[in-house]
Amino acid sequence: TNPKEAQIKSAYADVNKYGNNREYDKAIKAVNRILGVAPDDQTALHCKVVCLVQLSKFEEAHKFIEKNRLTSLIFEKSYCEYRLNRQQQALKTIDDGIVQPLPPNLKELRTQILYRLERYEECLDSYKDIIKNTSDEYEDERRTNLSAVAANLAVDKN
Amino acid sequence: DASSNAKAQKTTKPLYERLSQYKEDQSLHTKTPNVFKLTPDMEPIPCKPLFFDLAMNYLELPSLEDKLESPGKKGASITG
Repeated sequence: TNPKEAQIKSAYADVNKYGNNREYDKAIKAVNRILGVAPDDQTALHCKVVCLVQLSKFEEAHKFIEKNRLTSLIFEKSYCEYRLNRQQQALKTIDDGIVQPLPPNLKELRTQILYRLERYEECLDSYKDIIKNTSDEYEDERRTNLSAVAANLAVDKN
Repeated sequence: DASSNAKAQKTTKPLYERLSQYKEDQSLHTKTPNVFKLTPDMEPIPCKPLFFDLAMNYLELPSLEDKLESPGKKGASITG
């Protein structure tokens, strides 16, 4: 193996290690080592976006996605927009993507965006659908969100 | 004076305002003890409901499996 390849391999081992420990500040340094020698490495670019978002650097992550034209990272892009309170754009990012039917991550995010947009009827339908079709460790939290939607609907009707 | 203070006395002052005086205040034994005047009075108001960001839980690093060949396997392929 050439030195460059070995360098990338060892950096990926670090990304994996720090990622598993949720030490994203350290993981991002390892990712930068990869991008230093392989700037087009798609996996590394993806990792960098995830690290930035995990570190709450939404603006930076969003710019990084745009600059590197990471069109496949629909979830990450939309999530940044959601956190930057650009809800219309966040919804557009998801709905302009060609992914249909939506995978669970995009469905969950889209539903939260509908809530922020105060489109409670659609949001309620969407949550009912998610709750029917998922079993994970966040079922209580999701039902809490459903109640929040129902409460807002009740207030709206008064 | 001390004996008169020891007697049960009606008072409208909350306990907080008469900490230096001894008074047998029967209200302290009830469910509505006169301890501290809260201002403003409590009243129901609309609140922002709890809403969890569950999408965040889906934010994960991509699979690094193909980037992480075990060193042992790699070594074997070089020497072998």
